Amino acid sequence: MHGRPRKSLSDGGSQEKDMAKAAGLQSLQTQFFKNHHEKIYTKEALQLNAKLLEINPEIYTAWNYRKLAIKQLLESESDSAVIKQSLDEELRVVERALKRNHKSYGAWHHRKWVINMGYSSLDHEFQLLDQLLKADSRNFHGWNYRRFVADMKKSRDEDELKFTTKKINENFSNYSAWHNRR
Amino acid sequence: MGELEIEKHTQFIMSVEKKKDFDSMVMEHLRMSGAYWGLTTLDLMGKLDAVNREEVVSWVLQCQHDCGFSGNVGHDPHILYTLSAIQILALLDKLDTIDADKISAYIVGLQQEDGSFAGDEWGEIDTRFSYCAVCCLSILHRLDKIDVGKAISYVASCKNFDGGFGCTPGGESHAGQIFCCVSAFAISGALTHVDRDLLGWWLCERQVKSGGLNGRPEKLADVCYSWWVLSSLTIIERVHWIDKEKLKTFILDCQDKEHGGISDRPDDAVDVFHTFFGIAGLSLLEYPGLKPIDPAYALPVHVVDRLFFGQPH
Repeated sequence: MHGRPRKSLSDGGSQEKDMAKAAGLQSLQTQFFKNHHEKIYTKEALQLNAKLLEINPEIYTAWNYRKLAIKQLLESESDSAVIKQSLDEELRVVERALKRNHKSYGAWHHRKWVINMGYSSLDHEFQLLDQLLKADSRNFHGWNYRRFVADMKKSRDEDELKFTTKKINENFSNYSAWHNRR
Repeated sequence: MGELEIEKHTQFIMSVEKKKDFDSMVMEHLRMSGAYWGLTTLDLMGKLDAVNREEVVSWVLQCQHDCGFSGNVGHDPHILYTLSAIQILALLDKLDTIDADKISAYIVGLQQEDGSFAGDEWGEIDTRFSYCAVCCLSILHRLDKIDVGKAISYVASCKNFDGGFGCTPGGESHAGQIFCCVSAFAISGALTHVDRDLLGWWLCERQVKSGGLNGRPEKLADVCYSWWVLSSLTIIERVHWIDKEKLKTFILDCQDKEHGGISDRPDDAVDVFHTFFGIAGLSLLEYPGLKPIDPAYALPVHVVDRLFFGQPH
């Protein structure tokens, strides 16, 4: 919806490609909603859902479905290694979705929901954030998430201040970095 | 600068619904908001009669769950689409088709201990949802069902050093969030929480050389901020702090004069989101030929008047 050039309507070839892409998405969506309404959480169903989210991370219902699948797992599984493995897969799904849209509210919330379970490495989160805030230093989702992870890790204020100083040295006009010094 | 192409934009909005291309498909989950943007724009331009109201209401009701409305048929309910659904029904004067107590109970259930609101059962917290809750309940004349004091305290806790507001406490000021927080205050009669001069200054600094408005310092101008920034400035009575003529020119330059619709910035792809916010912005700027819009409810003034001063509910 933002920053896309106005296309001419006369390009027939690309229209065909686009309709094929749309048909592919429609098929994935139809199958996903069937799985969701019938509460099917098999490995194949979750893979289909992940494929859908990679194409369109904005389908919030698809993120809800993944949470329902995890809830079902937690009800039946007590081995924390198995749980951690599943949650790590969730984080990988989010990472792929964020590559498509690093501003996806649904993706960021799913990540926070998973991390809140307490099974995942917080150091990895800081590494991910370093990459992300390097690519877009004004991404407020990233900055909000960084405050959440820093709080969870009980990071020292000095360390966070050091990070914002680094960002300001990279770009003095980085309002997000200045804001996060409060 | 040219004129506002009302006929072209009407045709564009009517055509959006029928599109089956990829870019339209990826927006299917928010069709309820898309419908609200399209229908409200049509009404502002005096063209709502082009729409089959019964068909619209029937579709909206298909998206009703036991708790709230979803973005489209078959999708899960969410407070965002609950507000859009209620706004559509208010616009079409069809609020009598829903059970207001049931919708209120859904929203009340989303209020957290600290006064904030979750978007749905999965717990994402954001001041956008505080606005959705307050606006929706106010339209349904049931604002007293939530803890308004706590709701307002939470929003106030999201105030920043620059007078602006973010998604959550500590979140960077952003014009979209500012609209949500300032409007929530306005609807609840709590505008004392806003430092009008400080926020007004931050907001008027959003106007860039082209005359357009951005959403945060150092960002690009975007037509949607013609609404988020302008409505906030209107509510706090500081709209004269920006250059209105330059902003009007910017919005009009974002039109696709051939095919209709408005884009985020000149020569970009158009969509119904930016068409609504561009025209809503022009309405706030009192562009001739457009109906006035309420800056807090984001509905035409005649609809808000009908809700609060019209027929008994």
